[in-house]
Amino acid sequence: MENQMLLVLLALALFSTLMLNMYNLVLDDAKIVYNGIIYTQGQKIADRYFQQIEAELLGSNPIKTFSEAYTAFSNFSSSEAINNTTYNINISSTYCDSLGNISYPDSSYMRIDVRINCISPAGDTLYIGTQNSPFSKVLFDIGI
Amino acid sequence: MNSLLNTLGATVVGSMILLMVFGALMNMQTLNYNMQQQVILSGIAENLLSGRTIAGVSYSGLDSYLSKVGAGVSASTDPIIEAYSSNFKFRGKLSPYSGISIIQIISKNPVNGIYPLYVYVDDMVNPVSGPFWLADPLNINYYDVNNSEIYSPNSNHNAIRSCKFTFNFTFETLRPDIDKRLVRYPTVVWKYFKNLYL
Repeated sequence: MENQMLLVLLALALFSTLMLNMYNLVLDDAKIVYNGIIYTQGQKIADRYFQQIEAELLGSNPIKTFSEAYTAFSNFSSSEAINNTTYNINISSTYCDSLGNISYPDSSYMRIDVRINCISPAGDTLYIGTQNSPFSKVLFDIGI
Repeated sequence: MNSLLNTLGATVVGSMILLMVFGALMNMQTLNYNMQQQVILSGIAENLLSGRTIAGVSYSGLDSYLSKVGAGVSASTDPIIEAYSSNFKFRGKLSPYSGISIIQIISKNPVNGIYPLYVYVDDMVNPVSGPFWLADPLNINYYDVNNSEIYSPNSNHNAIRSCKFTFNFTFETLRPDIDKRLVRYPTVVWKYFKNLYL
């Protein structure tokens, strides 16, 4: 085998390795960007349920009383399909104190926890609000 | 002669490798460019949705405008003026000290295949925001107090309590070799009109 051809083949091997590595890095970056979009959408879904719960408690003749809202969301599950991604939503309500601490529950305060998971188009399972770190909101029964 | 043939062969193979390397580099550049555009587009879209502050001046986002649906509007006045799938026009006070404003969020007829999204406040000729470009027309779904979809919303203003807005923002790239429809930011937001629950 002549020297020139050997050198060319060596170059091919080296460049291929470099290219593969660079492609891998770029695709990792792309995954971060596109997963970010899914995380943002998950936060909007959580916000939707917070809005719903708050709105239904409003007014002199609310859609739900405080205790009805507690019951409705004590173990609520749903799913939402958006842009070919299915978001699995789990909501729980817990009586708590004014700081959201459930060690000293008071039925005038309720903490709503929202946890969402989904599978990204890349096949990763994404957790948007977890068991230990859910999206939380503390509501107070002002008794109107 | 043999050596010359080898050199020619190596030149041909080397050229092919170089072409492959340059092709791969250009592909990576395109991927990077699209990602950069994607991040910029996401930022612009989120600023439109939630508002932003530039040089100490706050600009309201759609979320803020939609919070005002029916704010300060008397019971005898319909707070909703128009409720269509790509056009939502309503009344509300933007602040406790202002008069009642008319606000419209609308995506208009496409220009070169993409749909301009505008936000109007009182002045229905000069938008306060827009155009923002959508790959598909703005899609608004309207829901009643039971979270059931209203299929003729413009005939049932009284029943409307919340909306789901589906946006598909797109970026017209400057690079002609990149598909300009490729960069998109699809997102869905919900808004419960709390003033209508009171």
